[in-house]
Formats: sequence, C-alpha cells, structure tokens
Amino acid sequence: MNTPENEIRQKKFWKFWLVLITVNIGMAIIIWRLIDIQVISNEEYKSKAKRQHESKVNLTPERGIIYDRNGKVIASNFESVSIAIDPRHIQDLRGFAKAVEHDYGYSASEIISKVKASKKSFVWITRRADPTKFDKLVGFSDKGLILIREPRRIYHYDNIASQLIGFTDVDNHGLSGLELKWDSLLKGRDGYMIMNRDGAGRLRPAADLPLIPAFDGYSMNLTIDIDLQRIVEHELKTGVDIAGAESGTVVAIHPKTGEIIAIASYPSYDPHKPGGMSSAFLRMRAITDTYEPGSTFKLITAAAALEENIIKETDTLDGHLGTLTMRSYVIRDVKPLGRISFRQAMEYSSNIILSTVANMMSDNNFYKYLRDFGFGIKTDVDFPGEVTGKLPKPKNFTSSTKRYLGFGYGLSVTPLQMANAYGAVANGGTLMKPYLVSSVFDSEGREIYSQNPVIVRRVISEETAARLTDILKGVVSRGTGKAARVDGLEICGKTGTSQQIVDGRYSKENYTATFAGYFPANDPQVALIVMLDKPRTSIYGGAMAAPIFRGIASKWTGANPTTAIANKFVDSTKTNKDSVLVPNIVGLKSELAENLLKNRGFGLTYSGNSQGIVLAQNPKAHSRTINGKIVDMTIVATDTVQSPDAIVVLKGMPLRSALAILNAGGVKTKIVGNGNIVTDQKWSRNSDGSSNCIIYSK
Amino acid sequence: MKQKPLFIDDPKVVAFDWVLFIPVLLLIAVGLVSIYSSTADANASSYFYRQLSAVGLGLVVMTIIVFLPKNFVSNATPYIYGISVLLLVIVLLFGTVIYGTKGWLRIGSFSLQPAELAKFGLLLGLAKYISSKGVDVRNIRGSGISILLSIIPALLIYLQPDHGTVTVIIAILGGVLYWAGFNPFILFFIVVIPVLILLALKGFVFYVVGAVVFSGLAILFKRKIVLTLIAIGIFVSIGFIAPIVYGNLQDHQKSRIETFLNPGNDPRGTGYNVIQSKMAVGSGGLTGKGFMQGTQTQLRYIPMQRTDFIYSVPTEEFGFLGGAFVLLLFSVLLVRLVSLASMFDKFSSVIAAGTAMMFLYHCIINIGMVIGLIPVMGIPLPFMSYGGSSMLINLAVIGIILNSYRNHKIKRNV
Repeated sequence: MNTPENEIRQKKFWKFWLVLITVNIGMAIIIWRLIDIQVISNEEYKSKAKRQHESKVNLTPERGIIYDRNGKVIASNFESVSIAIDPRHIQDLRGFAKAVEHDYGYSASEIISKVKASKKSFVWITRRADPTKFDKLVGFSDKGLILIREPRRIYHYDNIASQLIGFTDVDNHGLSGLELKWDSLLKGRDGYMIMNRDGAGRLRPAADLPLIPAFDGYSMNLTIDIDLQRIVEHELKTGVDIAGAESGTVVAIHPKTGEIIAIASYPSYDPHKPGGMSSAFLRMRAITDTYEPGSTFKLITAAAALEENIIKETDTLDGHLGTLTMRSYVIRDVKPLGRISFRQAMEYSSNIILSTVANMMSDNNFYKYLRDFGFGIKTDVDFPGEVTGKLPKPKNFTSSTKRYLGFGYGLSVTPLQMANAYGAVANGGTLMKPYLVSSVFDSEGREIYSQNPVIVRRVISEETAARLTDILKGVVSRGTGKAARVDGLEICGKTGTSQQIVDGRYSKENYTATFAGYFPANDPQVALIVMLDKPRTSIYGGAMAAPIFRGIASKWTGANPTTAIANKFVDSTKTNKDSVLVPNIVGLKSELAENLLKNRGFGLTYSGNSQGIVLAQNPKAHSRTINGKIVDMTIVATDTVQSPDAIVVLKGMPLRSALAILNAGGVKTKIVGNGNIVTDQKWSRNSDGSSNCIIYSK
Repeated sequence: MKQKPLFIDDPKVVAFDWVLFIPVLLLIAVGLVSIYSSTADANASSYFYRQLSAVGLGLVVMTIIVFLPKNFVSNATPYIYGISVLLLVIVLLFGTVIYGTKGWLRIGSFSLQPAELAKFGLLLGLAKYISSKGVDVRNIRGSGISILLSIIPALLIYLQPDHGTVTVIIAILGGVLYWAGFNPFILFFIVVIPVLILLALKGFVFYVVGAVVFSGLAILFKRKIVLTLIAIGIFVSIGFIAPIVYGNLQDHQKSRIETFLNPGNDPRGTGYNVIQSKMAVGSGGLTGKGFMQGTQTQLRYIPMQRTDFIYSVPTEEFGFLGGAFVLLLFSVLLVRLVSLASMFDKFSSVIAAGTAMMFLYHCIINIGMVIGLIPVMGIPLPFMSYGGSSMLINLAVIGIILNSYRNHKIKRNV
C-alpha cells in the first residue's frame, strides 16, 4: 500500500525515530562521560578536590615556662601578632600602608613598593609585633591582609640571668643557654588543624575535619633563686665597674645539694634583643670559660695535705722571706714571710709554703685529690657548652709541676668547678653534682622529671673538712680575705690573684682576681665564687673580689654589712645603715613568706586567711624599713584564686606578682601585651573546674 | 459546529498533558534545590527566593497560556515576533552590560533578557510562516524566508555579543527545517562541516574518527553517488585546509580558539570553570556527598555555578544517580515533545519540534560543557539554571504546547 498518505506517515515515523536516536546518542555520550569521571575516576577527582579545598593550618604550641626555685616566672610567653600581605588579594593597599605607616619601620610608600615588588603570595610586614599596635587593624577587613597571632617569648627579668636562660629565635627555637639545652622539652609539639579553603582562598573551620591540638612545651623549675640572682648581678656589676674589670663571674651553689642558686656573668645582655651582641656577652662564662685559679686553689692543696696527714695546722714551715729559688725557676710571695704555721701560711696565702707542701706528696696521690675535687673533668651540669679545663696527668709532671699546682698555677678550671670544690669542703667533704633544673612538668602540672641531689664522691673526711673550714674562717677574719667580712656572719673564704698568660708568657698587667668561700661557717648554705677578669683598679682578689663577695653575702642573709672594715667602696646600702629592704613577698606561698620575713627579723600580721598566697603586703616591697618592723600580709586562700569571681584583683599589680599568684593557685595563665603592670584580667572556666586567666599588660 | 465555551468543565476534555508537565516540574524542583545549595549563605540566599518567584510567575503565565482559545497564539505570533525583535534593538541601545554582554534590560529591580524572548518569538514566527498556506521549506523561497526570519534576531544577538544564544537560534532553525521536511542531507552537511573543522583543529585523531563516522553517515543517506562523493571529498579537504587557515591566523585569534577547544590548558581563564566543575562532578561519585555537603559547591569553587554550571550541583551532591535522574527527566521531556510534534497540526507541530530541538541543544551543550566534553559556551540549562527570563520563557513555551495539546484534545472530542 503505497498511497501518498502512507508515504507521509512513514516519513513522519522515520523523522520521529531519527530524532529519538539523536536524543539517545547524546544522552548516552553524557552518561558514558558521567560514569567515566564519577564512577571510574572518582577517587582521582576526590583526592584532587581534597587537595584543593583542604588546607593544613599549623597550631603553635606554647613554649614551656621557666620558673625559679620559688615558682617565680622567669621566662614565659605573650601573644604577638605577625602581619603579612597577600599581594594578589589586597584591595586597599594604600589604606593599609597609611594605617601602619612607621609602626614597623616602613613609610607608606615603602610598604606599597615592597608589596608590589613581590611575586610571592606572602609579604611579611612585621613578625612578632606588639599586639597593642595591632588594635587599629581590627576593623580593617581586607582578605589580602593576613594576621597571625603567635606566642612570643618574654623574659620577665630582662638582663637578669640572661646567659643562663638564653634566648629563642623568631620561630621560638632555643638558641642558647637553658633554652637551647632543654629546647626539645620546652618547645612542645606543633599541632595542626585541617581547614576548608573556599574558592576565594578564605579558610573556614569545619567540625568534621581532624584537629590535632598543639602540645604545649614542658615547663621547668630551676634551682636558681631569681631574687638572689638579682642581688648577685647587682653586686657583680657594681664590683666590676669599681674594679674596671673586663668581666666578672659569680657562681653560688647550695653545698649540700649541688643546686646552683645563682650563676652570673657580667656584662650581660637583653634576651629580647640578642642580635648584635658579641658572643663574649652571650656566654655563660662560669661554665664555658676557664682560668688559672691561683691562690683559691690552695684550699685543695691544704685539703689533700691534711687528709694525708702530711702536715698539721700548727706545723711551722719556712717562708724563705718571699723568694724560693730553685734551679730553673723562682717562686715568690707578695709579702715576705719567715717561719710560720701552716694555718698562717693559708691566712697570708703563701705561695712558697703551699708549693712546698704540695711537693711533699707523691705525684699520684696529689693528682688523685685534684681529680676527686672535680678538676680536669666536666661536672656534667645541665647546661650546654661546658668545658673540662686542663689538669696535667702525673706522667707528664715535671719537677716543678706539683710546686706550681700547689698554689694554683699550671692548670685551668671553670668557676663552676671551683665553686663546686669549695662546696664539697662546705658539705663536710662530699662532692655533689651541680645542677640547674630541679623539675620538669607538663602544662597540666604533672611532674615528668625531677632531679634529686647526686653525690659524686667523698673527697675528704668530715674531720678534715671541719679543719679546713676553721682555716678559711681565719683567712677572712685575720688574713687576706678581711674585705669579705660581714658582721654576724661567719664566712669562710680564700682570695686568689693569678697572672694571665698572654702570648705564652705570664702577663704583668692581666690578672684574674677571685674570692671563693662559703657561709655560714657552722652550717654552710652557700658556696660562692667571685671572679674578676683583668681588674684594673687593683689586681688583688682580696681587694677587688672579696668586697663583692661581702656585698652578696650581706644582702643574702639580710644582715647589715659591717662598716668596721675600712674599705673605699661606697655600698649602696651604707647610707641607710639602720634600715633594711623589705623583701617582695607578693605571690609567695604564705609559709614561705613567713619564713623569709622571720629570718630577716620582721614581725608579721595577717589579713584575710592565714594560709594561701600573699596578695598584698604593707609596707611595700623594696621600701626601707627599720629592722623588726611589722609587715602585714594580705593572704588569699589558694582555692579562691581558682575562682573566676574571686576577689583577686590583679589590676595594677606587677606582672610578676600576678603571675606568681595565678601560678600558685593553679590557674592557667596567658599574657597579652608585654608591659610590666597588669591592666586588665579576664577569667574563663574549664570543663574540669579549673580556670584560665588572661592578663593584659601594656 | 456550535460555539464552545472558553473553559470546559467536562473532565474528559480538561486535557492537560501531565507526561510533559511532570518532568518540567521535577527539573524545576531539582534546579531550585541546586540553586539553594550553591548560594545558601548568610547574605546570598536571596538567589533562591528570586528564582522561586520567577518560577511562581512562570507557572502563572503558563497556566494562562494553557487556557487561551485556539488560534489565539497563532494570531498573536506576528506581534510577539515583532516585539521580540524590537526589544533586541532596544537592548542594544539601552541595555546593561553584564559579563561583557549588553544583554539585559533593567526595569526597576527586574532585569529582562530579550535574547530569551527572541528564541520564543522565533519559534512562533517560524511555525506561523511554515504552517501558512502554500509555504514549502523544500523550495528556495520557503527556506530562504525561514532563514531570514532567523537571521534577524541572530544578528542582533550576535551584536550584544552573545554567541551562545546565536548558536541556539541556528539550532532551532535547523530543527524546524528538518521537521518541516527540508532536505536532511543538506542539513546534515551544514551541521557536519563546522564540527569537522573544530575536530581538525583539536587533533588529527579526532579529525580522522569524525571524518570516518560522518562519511559513513553520508553513505547511509543513499543519495546519488556523485553527491555522496563530493560530500566525502569536502570532509577530507577540511582536514588539510583547516590547519593551514589556522596557521595563518593572528596569535591572539589562535589563542582564543585554543582556549575554546582545550579549556584545561588555560586554568586561569575559562578553563578554571571547567576544571572546577569536572572536579565537583568527578568527586561526587556514585551516590554523591549529600545535600549541602558538596565541598566544591559549598566552598564556592565554581564561578557562575548557579547559572551555567548548575548541573555540577546535583552531580556533586547526589552523584551519578542525581545526574542520571536529571538526564532521565530531560529524556522524558524531549521524547514527549517529539511525540506530541508528530500528533499536532502543523503550527503546533513545528513549535513542539523546535522546542524539543532547543531543549536538546541547551541540554547537550550545557551538560557537555560542565563535564568537559564540549567547549565552554555560555548557555543555561533549561528549568534549572538561575535566571528569571529564561525560566519565564521556557514555562511560556511549555504553556503553548500544553495549550496546543488541550486544543488538540478538544478538537478530537468534539
């Protein structure tokens, strides 16, 4: 049937199917493509997309806090702000440049050209800046402006203990001192957070993406008493200035435990600005530098001789009237002495007699004592860069070696070794290992490491030690060490003056003046060495180092320095001889404050609780008062410090005291700003009931 | 024949083609969901509500058109065509420039895209002309006037410039001519040549495959051997001429063609969109990441996603299943349009076929672009892409077809 109508119908039919086939081919191609990219290559696209939209953001941990032995904060952190510009996204560069003009050392046009010249996506404007300057940028919303808040190290006592504590670089890595030695513990572990980055490059947090919190660094308690350290550094600086010395070093060790209570080198530096300082200022010379000890070493010779019964205090020896001529060398005394007792020889520091006594011992025996006192070996103190010093071995002894060693020549020692050896005598003959870090604890306060006193060895008997103490007492009361005398305090000590070797010869100009000793004689609490490098005013340890020793000792014990001893130094406390400094007890635990005040002869009254932390004191710290004056302590209970609505008003308080209070109360503290006075406080409570406090300080 | 009332209550005669309307409604729903997902934000969800009101307005317009009496549309056609052309002229004079195209007329807070109306006017105009007495597109006069009717709006749109819509006009013309009985071999020939030129420029392998397939198809037309051989000869010569012509182009012209063909090589320009949309689609997987969970969509990686790249939303968030569902809806819609076209009288038939062609072209080109199959051309996905003019016009077209369906049924029931 091929009618025209049929033909048309057939044509329509074909037209219809042709369209359907076209539609189906088109759809089939799309479906095939969808299967290809969505099902077959799904993983590839998924990971591509993930790489594009997921961004890892590092979380910076808080570096561990360094406390002194009483829990005072020496080094902590405050929040700083780093500012960067993304040149591709900055919209109002001119406005930004104007806003921060000269804040970070650039003029507006310099900032603009700096940003425009960069091809990178990141141009630092400043790093770790003071956040107060940043306030004006808060309202400045521009997606090309990148603000990074990072913790920055703050050293609350600036120059004090700077070589000991060290400093960190801009990335918070320890570069020197304890910051370097303990860096791995202090720095903590970086965390990270995966964030979504959107098409415009903004980061958006997402709850379902992983977050590994930063692990805050461990904090540590030092054996250092920062208040004593301040006294030591103040006295050292005064002494170095008076002596016109190039530098000075002090080490104070607790003889019974080996804890280093104060250790200082002068000149020091500001750890916030370590750049440009010569390495001589940065070194902790007490540990990293050696010197020829000279007469302070006579104690060691005496210890060996007494222990070996080679001599007794009362035995008399010939002083050769100041000159002992041997075949190839001459030994001289400063002051000609005739036949005197061994005790007197120590008091007058006779080189000739001590060299004679040293020569009376066998090489090995004498060497054994020197070794046992810790010379020629590292003390293994927990500080980087310790040196060994040089001690000749018996097989290398010449005929003169022992004679010279007898009065401290022919070997080199570190001030720390010397202080520790004196500590051994003070400790009844037992050498302790010196250390600086007493405990390490995590951010929750759990102790993860603690250092107990370590006995190294018994060097001499207790009886010998007592006899040596008696001799050293005589040195201070009658001999060369008179300038170290403090009324009401029995001090044991020995002076030392040694020529320095310059170009292989003993110099007539460069000397080392030292004074080493310990006090109180009956129950020594401190072994102390004062060393001056190249003093000019006078070269003698007795004249230059002993007064520093006396200054430290007298302030240390809170007793008045005697004015009876003629000296030409004007002591800072001399003008107020009847008054004493009121110690700063704010932030201390009440029992500690009580002891401190009682020991210094103050009376006490309490306001508030009787147990807890001292919140305020009257009279104020560092004011002068007559001895025996009553100090009123306002005490707040430890648990109330914890409470956000507590009465603890920190505003106006010195930052250090506020930190001490919060620390004692177990409050996690954050400091914003880097001033010295608390300007505001903000509390928040954790789920476990503990509290956080942000202290603002401008 | 007695006079029929305008509205008929007889349920048998309340003829409404649900088979056509339901896929449309579902596509609109998927589109709204996608727009919501791709713009949901504190301050940008207004896109969703604007689109929602466009849908509401469109449905009202559609309903009105459905119930218009027979021949009303046909009679109004010359005016609609005239107005659409007039608006194209006005937009060239007073239009607002968006993305480099002077294509929008701003009236208060509304903006109208005359190019969308022009597609509508052209569909009606062509249908009206072709269905008039004595017109046959198989002769020179009939096809010539049809082409002229199309060239007027195409030229005006080209001047905006909106090249994508120009290609839509050409596609509509091709579809209508084919349906009206124009020589399919010539149509085939006209369509194949530009495709082959592009394939030749894209790469030798592409060209060889295309030339072989098209030559095979040319043979299947069973025309005179000479004609077939001439066609194949031209296909072959394109392979040699196109690269030579390309080699003589200016550098900036070359780079434009290069970007058009291989957008992936230009990740900072047009290529960025394609790379991003492919990543969104590809990472969607079989079942998708879930509503409002598509990372690429939610993080706004795809520029113009709510308009030209809307298809990447359902494919990312509902995966292959979501993407295939959209294709299924389009397929049902297209097949229904073609089967209606075979049923209607000539005027309505041409409209339905032209509409099918228009939607097919939009659908293939837009989706092909989103999944990186076809070079980037800025044309929207019907019923889904954000845009009030497009939504309004597409629903009006659906309204006309439903009107034809209704009148067709009434006629049969009389």
